[in-house]
Amino acid sequence: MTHAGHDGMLQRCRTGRFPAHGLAVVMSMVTANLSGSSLDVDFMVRPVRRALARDLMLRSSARALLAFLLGVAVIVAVARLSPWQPPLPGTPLGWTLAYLAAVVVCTAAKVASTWPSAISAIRRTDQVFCLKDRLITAYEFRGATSEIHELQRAEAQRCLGGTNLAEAARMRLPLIEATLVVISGLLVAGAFWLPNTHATSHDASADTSAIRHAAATTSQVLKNLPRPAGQKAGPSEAPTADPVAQILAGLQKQLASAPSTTAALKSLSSAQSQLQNLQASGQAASAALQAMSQALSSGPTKPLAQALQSGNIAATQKAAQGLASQLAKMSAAQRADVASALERAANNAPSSLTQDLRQAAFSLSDDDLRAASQALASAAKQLAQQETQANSRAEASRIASQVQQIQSDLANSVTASPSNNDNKALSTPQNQPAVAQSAGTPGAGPTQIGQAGQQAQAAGTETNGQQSAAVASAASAQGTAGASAATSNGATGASASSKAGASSPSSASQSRGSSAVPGAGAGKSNANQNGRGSGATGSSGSGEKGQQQTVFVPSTRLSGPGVTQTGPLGSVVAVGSPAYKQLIARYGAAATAGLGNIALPPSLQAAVKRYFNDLQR
Amino acid sequence: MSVDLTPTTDDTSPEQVKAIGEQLHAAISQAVVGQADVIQQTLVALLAGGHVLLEGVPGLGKTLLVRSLAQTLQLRFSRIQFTPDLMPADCTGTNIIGEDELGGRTFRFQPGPLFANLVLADEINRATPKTQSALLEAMQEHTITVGQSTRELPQPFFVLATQNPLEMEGTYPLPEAQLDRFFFKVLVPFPDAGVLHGILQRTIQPPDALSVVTDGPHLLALRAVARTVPVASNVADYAVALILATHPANARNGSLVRRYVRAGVSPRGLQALVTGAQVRALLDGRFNASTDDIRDLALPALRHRLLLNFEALAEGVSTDAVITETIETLGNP
Repeated sequence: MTHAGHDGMLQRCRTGRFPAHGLAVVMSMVTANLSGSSLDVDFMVRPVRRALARDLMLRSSARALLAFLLGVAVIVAVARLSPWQPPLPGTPLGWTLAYLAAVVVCTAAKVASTWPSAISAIRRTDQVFCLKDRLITAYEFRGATSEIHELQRAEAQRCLGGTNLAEAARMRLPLIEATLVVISGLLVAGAFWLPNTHATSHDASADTSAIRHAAATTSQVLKNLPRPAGQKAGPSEAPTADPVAQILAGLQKQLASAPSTTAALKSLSSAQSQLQNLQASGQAASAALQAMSQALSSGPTKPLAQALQSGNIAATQKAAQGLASQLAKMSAAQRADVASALERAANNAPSSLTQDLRQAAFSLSDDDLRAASQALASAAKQLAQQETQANSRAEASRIASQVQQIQSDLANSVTASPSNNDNKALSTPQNQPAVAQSAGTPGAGPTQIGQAGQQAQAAGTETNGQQSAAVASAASAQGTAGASAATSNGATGASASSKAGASSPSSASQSRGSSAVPGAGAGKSNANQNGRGSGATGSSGSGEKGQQQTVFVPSTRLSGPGVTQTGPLGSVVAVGSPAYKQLIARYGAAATAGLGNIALPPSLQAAVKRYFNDLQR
Repeated sequence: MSVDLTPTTDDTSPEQVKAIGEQLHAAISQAVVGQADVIQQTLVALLAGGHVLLEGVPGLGKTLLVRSLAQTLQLRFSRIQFTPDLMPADCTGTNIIGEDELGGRTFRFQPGPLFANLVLADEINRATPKTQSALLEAMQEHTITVGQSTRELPQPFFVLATQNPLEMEGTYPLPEAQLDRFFFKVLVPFPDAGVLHGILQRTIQPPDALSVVTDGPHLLALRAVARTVPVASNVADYAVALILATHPANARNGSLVRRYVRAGVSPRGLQALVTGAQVRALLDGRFNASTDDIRDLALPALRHRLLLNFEALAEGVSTDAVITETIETLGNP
């Protein structure tokens, strides 16, 4: 019976008329009691008592829910609008659970204390059916035997007949309470829409910590850079002449002032680009020096050629000075040889050297020893710069791998934060092709990646998320001079034998395009703890059966015969086969070991193994 | 006017109360047109053994009501017209000198008009307080003490007093002690047009003689039956709460009580409420007192027992308004 219905019935009671519409099916228990004078009122009103209990439970639950929702709304609002930190004890979830427990306990106690008794049910029945306290009187005087008490009980029984006692209790939640519950629910939902300063601050602090770590690592790398003789080592002192150091110093400053992880990652990417450019320029310089060395490798210029090949700046300068000093002692034929060699070298030299070398050659031809000496001295200076550039290539490669590691570490810490939406975009989705920051060591030339799908994209593709090793660029030698096993478990460029400046066998790989080698580059890069950025699914290998592709990996210069071959990326120099076999074995071993650490489907794992087996043949 | 002296049934069952009540109501209504509530409340007080104070403007049938009641109940009726020069002995009786059988002179008690079953104290507020106080013992104890002798009054003994709310000059308001001895104070309202037509009709054509419904002993027996009507605890609790709520110091009282009441209702008011509820239940055909009975009888039982302060008198706040607000403040039991 609704509240309105109850009031209407009471109004009819006041007029003295018994509610006609309240008569319903006669309860069997009522008819059973009609015969005797004994009136078991308690038994008869049990349906009312049960209904009252249900009503009490319903209303209490609604009120408890209302109280809980309001409390949760307050807790969520506090947690959202202010960072949850001391002196507030516990966590918002802990407070919510404690509040829930308190609400439950209080509600249970309230329900227990107000559990409807027989008397309350009887009174309720009297009220609803306008029985004018007949039932309660009959119940209280149930033991009396006087005439009037008997008459009273009989009259109560008579009046009770034909009523549906279950209507005596309100069965429906009042509208106002239901409305308040809905409003409270909306308040809770609204509280969750409030800006989450807690998570933001937590993430901000986490991001700040990660950025600081990246900056500290960069500072350490800068500190560990080899210094020129006589320069004191120190974290704040960078060899100003060293371009790598300048890049690192700039990166350090940017990381120190990075407002967010995104900015920090961008700074790292920028530094990597600069290092790559440095690598490229160093590679070009190295190639030029190599060509010059070849041109000067005979006759009186042989010492100079050897010095150029060694890469020792001092030796090169000394050789150049020695050559200049020996010009006066040479015969005309020798001078002519020197002039010819210098002319040839000038043809292969960088533009900055060409003029000096040609001038030297021309002066020698004119027997102008003084001019020739001056030209040679000038050329020696230029040669020193070229050697510096060439030497910086290796360093740039090594530093680039370290910067890449810093970048991937920072990206990992970003993707580990669930609410850092800004950085979600930075993480590599699962189905993207292998993204590898390949800091391939430029040795004999740029990395030529076979037609293993989209490896070319992998090489040098810069991502700020999870870095997955472009295994397939198999050839993407990372980190150090060609000795890096490109396979990594998310950590990019974990090089097996990376040593700064080490001259190690360059990595050359040969990928044979075959249909059995899908997604060559991909393989292993899952890396992320939560599986994100597993990017390195790589692209399906598009190799054709039987077609052979040659992949060259830039590396440090090696002695020995080599073959110059023009590839799609320009001139390259192949490296020696023995070094390749050693390196590819390492690649294969690292790839196989890495397979156990990432979640690749078995088919892809088999493809990776097959790939490396083919490479090693 | 003839009186039918045929005795009624000696049945004293509870159901007989309702029958007697209906018969009395019908008989009195032959003489007194309208005023159903007044008749009903008077009957309740009668069956409860209490006295009634009827207040109304002149000409509303207050005296007629009492006379008719006396006729239907076959009770000895006396009327005392209260005047300012009325002495207490005029009501109670006095010792007078008389001759005995031997011719000697002795004091003989001459009973006053109070020695009746049904006493009409007409315009009781016109007599002096000294005379008014002569009724105190009679109304409360049902005895009269004259000299050194205390004499029992005949049973049943009812005092039905009347007073005029107008013409307060030259009158003596009843003291609280005496007011408290009246079971009910019944306000007789001015009749409406229909009732006036009925009065006119009866004036032109007087009704037949009223039939006797019952007698005094039967009435006493029915009164005893009424006292056995069961009162549930919640009804008693409600009556107690209502009485307590009329006191200014009580926490459950209303704003009017706190502001205008000088003294709340006495325990006699509680007795009047509950006994009146018992009788009313029987007259209604029920065999138990209910909270509805308490509420319906609150005004006649309590209006004359509530003392208002001067502020209430100055602002014209009536006791009825205070009691009504108190009932509303208490709410449903």
